[in-house]
Amino acid sequence: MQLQQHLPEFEAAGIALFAISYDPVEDQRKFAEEFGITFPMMADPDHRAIEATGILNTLVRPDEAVYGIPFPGIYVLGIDGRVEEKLFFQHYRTRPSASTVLREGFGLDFEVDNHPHADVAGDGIRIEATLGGESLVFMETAMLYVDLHVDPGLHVYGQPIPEGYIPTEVRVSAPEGVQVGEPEYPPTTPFRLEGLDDEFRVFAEDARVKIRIQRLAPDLEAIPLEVTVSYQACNDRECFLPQTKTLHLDVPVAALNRAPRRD
Amino acid sequence: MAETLQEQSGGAPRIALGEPFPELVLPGVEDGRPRSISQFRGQKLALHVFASW
Repeated sequence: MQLQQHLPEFEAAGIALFAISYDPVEDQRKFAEEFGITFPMMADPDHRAIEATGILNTLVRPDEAVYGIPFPGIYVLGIDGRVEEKLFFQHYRTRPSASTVLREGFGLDFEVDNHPHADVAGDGIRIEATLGGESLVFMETAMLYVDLHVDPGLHVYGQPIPEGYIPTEVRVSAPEGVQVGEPEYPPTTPFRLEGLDDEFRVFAEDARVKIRIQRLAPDLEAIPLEVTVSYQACNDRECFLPQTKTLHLDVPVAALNRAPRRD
Repeated sequence: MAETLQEQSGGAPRIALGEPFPELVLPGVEDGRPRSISQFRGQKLALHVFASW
């Protein structure tokens, strides 16, 4: 279990890990022993508490065998016990990678030395793509971070955009069995050109685009991700030609945590 | 982001941001004895909700 491996990072940040599972106590104990889990876990086999707190997965019908399983995800609670962040993922069996939790839930940077990474330079911009995890195990979700480093004095365009200009667009293609979410673009800043009525929305300096990557297939030999970024870099007088750059990331396919029992 | 994901989930984790997480008392896996979330008050907490399969 990946969270266990990252326990020292959570502890260093003063964050306690705690888990609630639908599995009965006995099953969870075996699971904990098998994977060396040392953080506290609670069992909720009757899913009463899970239902009471609204995290029952209503996407699963009551007549399905897996009825009662919660939305997998992470609640981030502050020192006063209030909910500060919720990291829930769409597919009922995927869970966020530990690095993605640290970044999205707690705003902590993670070591990316072992993470799939690629970068490329274009006119007026440098682009980096980094996965929020070292690999993708079956039914795991990680964020893909695409960082746009725009040269000083330049900008690239966001949306909405007047006709005739090139917006910055990030696209990710992945093999079958890997689901790619919609890119989430950071906020733009307004920009006007002297003598023009149009208002532009632009990215300048550093901008981070986030895309969710979910592995839904058990049998994958490799996960090549192709990241395509199209953009046009300009200053307040002139523009480079529009460009499209492609980055390739090879995401390692970690072994199955555990064989699914009830499919 | 979390809100958007929640909408996509079709159902609702009903606890809103800023609300206290309800007190839960459930058997602990280690020894079967009841444990509560409030015993962790005073530190940041990542509460992982999952099923093992």
